[in-house]
Amino acid sequence: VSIDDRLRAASRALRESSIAQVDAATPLREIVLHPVQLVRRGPTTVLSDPPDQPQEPPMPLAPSPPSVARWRRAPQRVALAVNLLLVLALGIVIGIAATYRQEAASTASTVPIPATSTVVATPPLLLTSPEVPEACLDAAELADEVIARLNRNQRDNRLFLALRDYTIASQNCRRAASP
Amino acid sequence: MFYLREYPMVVGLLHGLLGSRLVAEELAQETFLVAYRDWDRISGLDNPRAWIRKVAINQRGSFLRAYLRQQTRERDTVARHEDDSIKLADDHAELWQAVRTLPPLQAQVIALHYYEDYSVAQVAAALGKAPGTIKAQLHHGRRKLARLLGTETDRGRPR
Repeated sequence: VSIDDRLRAASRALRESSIAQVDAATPLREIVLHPVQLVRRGPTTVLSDPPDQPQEPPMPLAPSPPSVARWRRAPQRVALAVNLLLVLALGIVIGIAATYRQEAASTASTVPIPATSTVVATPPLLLTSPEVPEACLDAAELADEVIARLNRNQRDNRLFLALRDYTIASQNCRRAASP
Repeated sequence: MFYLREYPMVVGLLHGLLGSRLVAEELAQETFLVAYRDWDRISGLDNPRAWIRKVAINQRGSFLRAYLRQQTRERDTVARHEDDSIKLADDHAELWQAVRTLPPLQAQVIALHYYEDYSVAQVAAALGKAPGTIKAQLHHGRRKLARLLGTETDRGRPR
């Protein structure tokens, strides 16, 4: 047997064994299942047959990158930030209102003690009359409305008007609540 | 599909030159990934099959050294647990083992000429060498193999 014959026989054996033993579908499945690792750039394409060979239905290998979704998330983040700011502002309004009420109560609660009273001291009475400025109640209601619209994602002119009214009411509230 | 048809053949070619199925498959996948990225252009070539083999062979030359250095430890670990070769009859395995002892260019010429059934002109085109160089490499390669394996020298002449 010449070396030429042995080379031909060994080559034929290797070809046949490769076709029989090597599974081409496994790495292809990996490409399909994990396209991000393997496909590093470019749009979706396929390894279809060259034009001079019979065509088969192409198999998409990779989805296009999800960059659009990232941009869609930006308004949601803005809405979240606005919500947090509104909650903060509402907290300040309520705090100011509570302080105002407490001051009003302390000035009104100086009850005179009768001269004929016994030695037993009575604790000072706390007045709980709701003396919240009207502007602060308006501001709170408008803040609720703004938050509700943002939560429903209603970003239209009504939201703009509500925000504007809230800002004005908030300023009025601050003014009315300040001593 | 082009990939499903050609992938095992390219793995076989690289396995003949490298002796490791694992490394052959890795290189073949890398080759097809290169083709996938530029498939619009490659599918328009006269012979995409030849292009794939040329890239696979060139990867074997330039990329393999760095790749093997990086992967050797992992590959050795895997090879202990798996049979890292395409199963062949003993005399065929012995011949391919001998081919791998040849200088790289001779081994590539032998593999492309016999495994891929390329003519001298096609091998020359694939490797970017003159046909005369390929003929000489074939002649020297066969003679060395015959000496290594204790077989008759070639009687056939390159096409």
